Amino acid sequence: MNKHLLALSVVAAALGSPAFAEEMADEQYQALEARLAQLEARDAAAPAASALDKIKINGFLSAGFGWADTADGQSYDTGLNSTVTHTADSVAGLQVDAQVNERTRAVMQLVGRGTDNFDAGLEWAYISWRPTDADEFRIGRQRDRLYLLSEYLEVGYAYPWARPPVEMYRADHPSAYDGLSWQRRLAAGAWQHDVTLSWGRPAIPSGDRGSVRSDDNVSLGIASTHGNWQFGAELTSASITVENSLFDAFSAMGFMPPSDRDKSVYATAGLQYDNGSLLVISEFTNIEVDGTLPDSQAAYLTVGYRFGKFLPHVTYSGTKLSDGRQPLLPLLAIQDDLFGNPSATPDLCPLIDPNPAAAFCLAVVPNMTPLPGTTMGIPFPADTLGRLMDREQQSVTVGVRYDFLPNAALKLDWTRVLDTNGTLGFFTPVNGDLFNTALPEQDVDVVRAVVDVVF
Amino acid sequence: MKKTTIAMLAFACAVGMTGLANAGVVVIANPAVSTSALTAEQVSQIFMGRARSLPDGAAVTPIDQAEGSPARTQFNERVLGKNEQQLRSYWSRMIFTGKGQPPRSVASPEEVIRAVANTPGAIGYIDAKNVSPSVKVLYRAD
Repeated sequence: MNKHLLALSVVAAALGSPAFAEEMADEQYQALEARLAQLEARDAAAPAASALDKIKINGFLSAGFGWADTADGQSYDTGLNSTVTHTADSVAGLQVDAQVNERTRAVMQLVGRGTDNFDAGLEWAYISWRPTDADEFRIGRQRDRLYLLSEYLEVGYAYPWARPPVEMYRADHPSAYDGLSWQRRLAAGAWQHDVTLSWGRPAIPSGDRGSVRSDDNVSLGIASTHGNWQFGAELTSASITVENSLFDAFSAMGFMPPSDRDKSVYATAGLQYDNGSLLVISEFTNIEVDGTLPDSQAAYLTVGYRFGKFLPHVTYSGTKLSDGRQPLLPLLAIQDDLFGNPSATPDLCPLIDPNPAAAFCLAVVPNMTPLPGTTMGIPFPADTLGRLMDREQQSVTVGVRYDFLPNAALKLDWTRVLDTNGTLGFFTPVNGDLFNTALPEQDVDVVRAVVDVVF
Repeated sequence: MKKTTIAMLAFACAVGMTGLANAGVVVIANPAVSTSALTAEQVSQIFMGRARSLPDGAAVTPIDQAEGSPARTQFNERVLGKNEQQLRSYWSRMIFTGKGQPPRSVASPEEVIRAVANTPGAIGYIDAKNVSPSVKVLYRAD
């Protein structure tokens, strides 16, 4: 009798509607009792399901279209050009998180990018061990943390833009490393801090392996949360050695210093404010590089406001060199083009007339740059040398994010590239023919439409 | 006995009649838990996946309610201080950086009570008027 009474009281109170209580007939009450018994039975059978709870599978998918008002023979950022492309901003990822025991997990994340023909690669593959509640050690393949969004860059659903500002989040740096990391959680009143120390070797994409050898990176970062505010800072020290016969040849001629464990230091700081309506995100990074590549800085500021399911936002972003431009060498990517492509202009052209090739060179490539102390020339103008490595760009992006389903968001971004300050910015020649490509004009428009889904 | 039964039934209906207007959300736990109260901050840390144990050191399992349910909306607003969109972005960051998974969610307040009563170390939240003696109240949001 007590049990019936309790069930009846709970049900009557929970339903909270006087009309319902009055209509509560015996049959309905019996039906509810039966349902309760059914749920109890199901619950008792549940322990077997807990084994499945130990493996969690999640995934994300971004499908996007992009267009950029580029000149002929040029593309922008991930490969956008004046034909609407589908694959440039498309990404798919699958993650498995398996609880091995109470303190240990194995996490694997497979990611395929449209720019790589969706060839799926293991982006994360690590074992996580939590000896205490405040410490986590990870060993294996993990994401770099050069900038504040680096760890979840592929998960479009987690940020408002179709793509984070390209001036900072360039498409061309290695994104994962193999190594060890330690994260410690600290709490001080209403502040929560996560401090992460990591050490590892960048996993260079296989295409670049021949020319860049990467040595170990060390990185220290802190992420702090306080109510609606989040702050982050990251310091990464990386070192690369360029192993490339073109580089070696030019350094042997005294044209540039040799590359040997050139160190680069990335110092990033950023903040985010989100009170549910107003959203402000800002980041700044300073990159100092030894050797031939230039020092640079990049920053962006995004302000957005939520109106129901819509989040319109505006972003100003830019990057510039911070040590003055110096004559620099061609990008490594073009070396294959130079040596591999039989119809390309010769990489080093003889300048002295008795050599029959000289006439050809001079005719095909005006403005050659003579190599000091030799009778050979580099087949592109000296000031192009500077342009090839520089990336300066400022742009404004206006966009809107629409959360049309609980796990899906549609984004539409319009970017205007304002100025590349005489450099190539983030435009690249389609055939790698850097020597003959035009500099981008001012005010180039880029439009991106992306749907991001998580599950 | 019959009179008492009818009186209690009437009382239950009367309580039911007050509706949801003044009900707050409370955080409940298994009665065997040694903690007797939690602050909003502590509850928030647990439900956001940042704390894995109660102040006394015991492991804790948070239980959520279904998205869209009134209790969840109130809980998110008054205890976590975040709306559903902020939470979705937050959890997608947490999941895909391997930092945590969202709490298990169940379909009804009765299931919350059942899960909390039967699972050691479980905490959940329900509308104040659904509280039963089989669970212990650790926090009241007004």
